[in-house]
Amino acid sequence: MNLLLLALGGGMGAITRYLVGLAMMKRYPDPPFPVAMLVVNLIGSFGLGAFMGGYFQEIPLGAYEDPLFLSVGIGFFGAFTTYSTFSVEASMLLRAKQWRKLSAYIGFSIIGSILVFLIGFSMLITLTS
Amino acid sequence: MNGTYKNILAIGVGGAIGTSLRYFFNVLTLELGYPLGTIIENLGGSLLLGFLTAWFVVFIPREWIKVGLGVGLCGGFTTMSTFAADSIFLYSRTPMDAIFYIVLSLFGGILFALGGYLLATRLATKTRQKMEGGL
Repeated sequence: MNLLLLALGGGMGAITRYLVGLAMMKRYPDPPFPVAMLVVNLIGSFGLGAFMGGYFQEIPLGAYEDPLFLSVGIGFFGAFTTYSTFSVEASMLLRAKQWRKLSAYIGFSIIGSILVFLIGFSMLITLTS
Repeated sequence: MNGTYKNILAIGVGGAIGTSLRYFFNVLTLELGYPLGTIIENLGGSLLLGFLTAWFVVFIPREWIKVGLGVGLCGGFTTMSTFAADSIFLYSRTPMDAIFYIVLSLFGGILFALGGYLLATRLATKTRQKMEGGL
């Protein structure tokens, strides 16, 4: 049952990422750098931080029996955000020797995701305590 | 079936499989107390997506296959949000561990994506030459 919820959350996360990506590309058809997945990753990292802060008040290491952790944390937010597209887009900028875009994309994605995770996490801890 | 719905269904199925595989690696490496699972997933998924990106330039697949494997499977298998959670978790314990984890994920991911891309470019070109030579 838990694994079914996990798979369901993952499927929904991937579909939501696709739809948000399509909407972003429609709105900004020619962005200065791959901004669609950056926005998705920032929203999703904030969401996972908020979820962990609000539900666990900590970063759980092994909550692998908890159905909500599996479906929402590992499933939905895990699949909504993505790392493979980030790597491929960064490697394309590297191949094209677009150094400034590359460093901006890496900085915003990596530092940005960690930072917004921390913000969401701290916010919900404060709100729920 | 309408093309868009076919794509969405393929992404849902791919995402569910990718997520289940990610869960499998997480549980497998849980005892280590170090997010090795996330590293395997993010580097492995980057390699596969890099490969598929170049392969599909030469052998153009149906759209639902392309998005099902790329957006669904690779996207669902890899994760940025857990990467962020892992980084903060490690930092709160041993800051050096967090820095090592971030550097390995970042450079490893880009190198693996690039490696997959270059490998598929060579392989696809060779395969195509063989197929054309056989005709």
